[in-house]
Amino acid sequence: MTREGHARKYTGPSVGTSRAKSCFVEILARAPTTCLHCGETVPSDAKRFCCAGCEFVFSLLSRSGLDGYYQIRDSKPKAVSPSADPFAYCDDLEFIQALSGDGRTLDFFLEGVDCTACVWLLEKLPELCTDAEQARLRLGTSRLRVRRAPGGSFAKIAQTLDRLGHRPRPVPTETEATRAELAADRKDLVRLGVAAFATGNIMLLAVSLYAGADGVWAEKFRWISAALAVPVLSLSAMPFYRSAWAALRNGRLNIDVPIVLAVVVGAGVSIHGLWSDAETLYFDSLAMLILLLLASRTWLKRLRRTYLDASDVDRQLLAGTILKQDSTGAWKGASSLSLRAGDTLSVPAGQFVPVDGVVIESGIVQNAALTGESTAESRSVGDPVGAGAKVLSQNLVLKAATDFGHSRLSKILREAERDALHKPRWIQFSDRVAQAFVIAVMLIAAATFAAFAATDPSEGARRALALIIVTCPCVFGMAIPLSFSLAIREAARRGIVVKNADLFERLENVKAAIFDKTGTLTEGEMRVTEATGLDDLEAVEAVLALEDGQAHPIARAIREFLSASRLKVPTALDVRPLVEGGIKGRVNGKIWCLVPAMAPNSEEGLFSRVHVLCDGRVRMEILVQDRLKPGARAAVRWFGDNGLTVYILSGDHPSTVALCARQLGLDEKSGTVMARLSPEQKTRIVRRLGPGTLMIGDGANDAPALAAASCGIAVHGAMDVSLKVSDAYVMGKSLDSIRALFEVALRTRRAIRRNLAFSATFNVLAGGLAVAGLMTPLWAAVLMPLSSVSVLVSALAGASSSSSPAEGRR
Amino acid sequence: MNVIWFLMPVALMLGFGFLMAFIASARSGQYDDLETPAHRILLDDHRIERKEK
Repeated sequence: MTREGHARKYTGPSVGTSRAKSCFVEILARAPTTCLHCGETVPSDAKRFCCAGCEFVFSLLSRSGLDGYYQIRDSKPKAVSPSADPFAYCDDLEFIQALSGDGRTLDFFLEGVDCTACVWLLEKLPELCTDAEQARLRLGTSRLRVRRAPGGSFAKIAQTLDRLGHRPRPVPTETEATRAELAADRKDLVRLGVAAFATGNIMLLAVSLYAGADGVWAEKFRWISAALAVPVLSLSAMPFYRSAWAALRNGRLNIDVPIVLAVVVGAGVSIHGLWSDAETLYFDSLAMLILLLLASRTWLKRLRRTYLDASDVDRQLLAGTILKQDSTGAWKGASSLSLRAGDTLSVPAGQFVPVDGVVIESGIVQNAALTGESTAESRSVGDPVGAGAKVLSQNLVLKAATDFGHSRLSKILREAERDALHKPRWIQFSDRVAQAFVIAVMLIAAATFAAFAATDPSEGARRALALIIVTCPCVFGMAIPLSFSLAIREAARRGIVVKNADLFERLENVKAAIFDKTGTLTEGEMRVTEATGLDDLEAVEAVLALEDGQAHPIARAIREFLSASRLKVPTALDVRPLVEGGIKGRVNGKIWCLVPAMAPNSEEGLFSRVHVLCDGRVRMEILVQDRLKPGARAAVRWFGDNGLTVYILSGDHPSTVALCARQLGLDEKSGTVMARLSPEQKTRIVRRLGPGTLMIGDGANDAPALAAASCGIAVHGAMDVSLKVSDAYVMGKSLDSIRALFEVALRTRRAIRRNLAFSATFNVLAGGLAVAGLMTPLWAAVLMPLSSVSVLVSALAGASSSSSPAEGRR
Repeated sequence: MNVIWFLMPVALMLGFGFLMAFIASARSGQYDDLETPAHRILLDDHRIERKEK
């Protein structure tokens, strides 16, 4: 490839079709030989990529029409770290002591781990990197436990993992929480093992008793059964006793109370029967009941952990590698997870500030996650900066005010999740029903026993016992809360934070979907959509030089677009703002001007046209537009297809709103598209549209409208403020999450109704059979856990039918 | 049939022995990760061939 001055035809993988992009690639054809994807220098002149991986990703993006990626991604060079190795801190003695139990084993949390191939590749680590002696992967938690070879370096291991495509994050090998969890799991298994052993053997003996063994055999077998039942009733049943006791102490009844009652009564009757040579003993039924219930609860706990593992939202958002200043003043790469209050850190461009803090060296940030404003703000020495702020300048140096994970944003995210389950109407309702259910069952059981008390007390006891065992309010106590938890998780996974599970119910009745425009349907940010004169390298350099360091959104948009050309940015001198708008300065001896070609308030509305002038001649023309958000068109279409009327209420200029409506495929004359509205007018219209309204808007500006609608979804805006007035908050830019929300709500409603129907039928039928004497306690002990398991399986199936556990974990 | 008085305790002790083995394996952490071993058994053990040398 030669460096010639004229345009060359690009012959690589086909890149997007827009004029801007194809010109772009022609620039790149003449740029110094750097990889088109990652910017690393290319080994030989003939290649465009440094490796097959980059080539693959580039062609994948191009083929999918996603080459906008190169415009969007932050291409400012990352802050130069004193040590070129971002993982050097892994070899730091203090770090190893803190995170590794024995100095030789270290756990890494890896991104992108979800399949068998990953297991194979990662466990082959010792062959790829001699510093590792052994590597074991846990798919469930995406953790790789690596044992270092004697004299080996964790940093090299981390580098290898990074190169394999899984960004590694060292995590503490064992924390109090994980150790306690592990111990609890193992205890569960022991309990289960004991119960299984005892039940199996009791059943063996019971078979012979049922078959008619009598005399000395029967007596001995009964005593042995009793002896085997002791560990089950004491050790294995402990969790139920504890749970029932906790509920009773608070004056409430939960689903474990009737179980404990059954166990206690059954055991009492059986022991008494043992002494007094009564006809039937219930050790087999009780042991079976405890075994099956324990099995289903343990299984449910494990499943809950897979689907509902600890909230990673704030970690995913905020954890990363930053530079931390140690006691000697030297800068070292460190993991955000290790930050403590008082640490001095430097956050590179494009990354989020991981903790709340005070600025030491000024820089420019963007606080979209906290305040919803996407404008660049400068922060000077002494200014506070919150976790979640995105760094726009080269870097930002600050002193941490909180430990990692204790910032305001972390608290918000965690609280939002917790509050979402805090007494939604459905859960309050199901609590009350469960209590009523339990009381009713106990009354019926007592009545049954009383009916037989005079004539045949053992028959009465048998029927009462069977009744108490077989009926179960597990739908209310377990399945409904589980369904809601799963739904909220699923929604969060697909980009929506749901404040209250009530929303799922209310979404069913929505008839009108009302959108705000700026910031809701559109990105609210300027992006370059067209550019001419891109082959004029001198002009491109000049523009980059002039816009360097400018905080204006248009400047940033132009800078982001052009800097993907990876040209060296010369220095601009004498940069001055112009009276009529734009700026002018001197680059490489020539005077350049950037001027808006049309007044900002013109009919063109959404976009701005910028001309790049030198010596009075227009060298470049750049069009900057506020784009529709990804998923906007699809969302509007989906609403239309599902019978919802779509409205757009905006405070913006009518022609802008009309243009937006047209882009979305809506008829701007149908009366559903309204412009120049004040917030009060919007609220009035929302109210007028009656019940069944879904408002989607900005948490700050549209707060009254969001509150007035039946369902409010906040998009873009400070999360905590938004959640005060709305029912859900969309994280990220795509509006696909709204569609996902509807899908999740529908599935959850269906699952809950299905479970309610099943549970009602089962309880009535089985309870009836028990009272009629047609069900022995043993059958009851088998059927009840089966019914609760099937209800739980139904809840799980209803919640996440499309995502496998592996995907969910990502 | 009196042999049953001998066989019963033996059977129970056998079962008890297995229970102890289970408890020991649970305590030593063999059941901590039930998912990855399922993938691991599908994978071959042979080492990666080194291309250059």
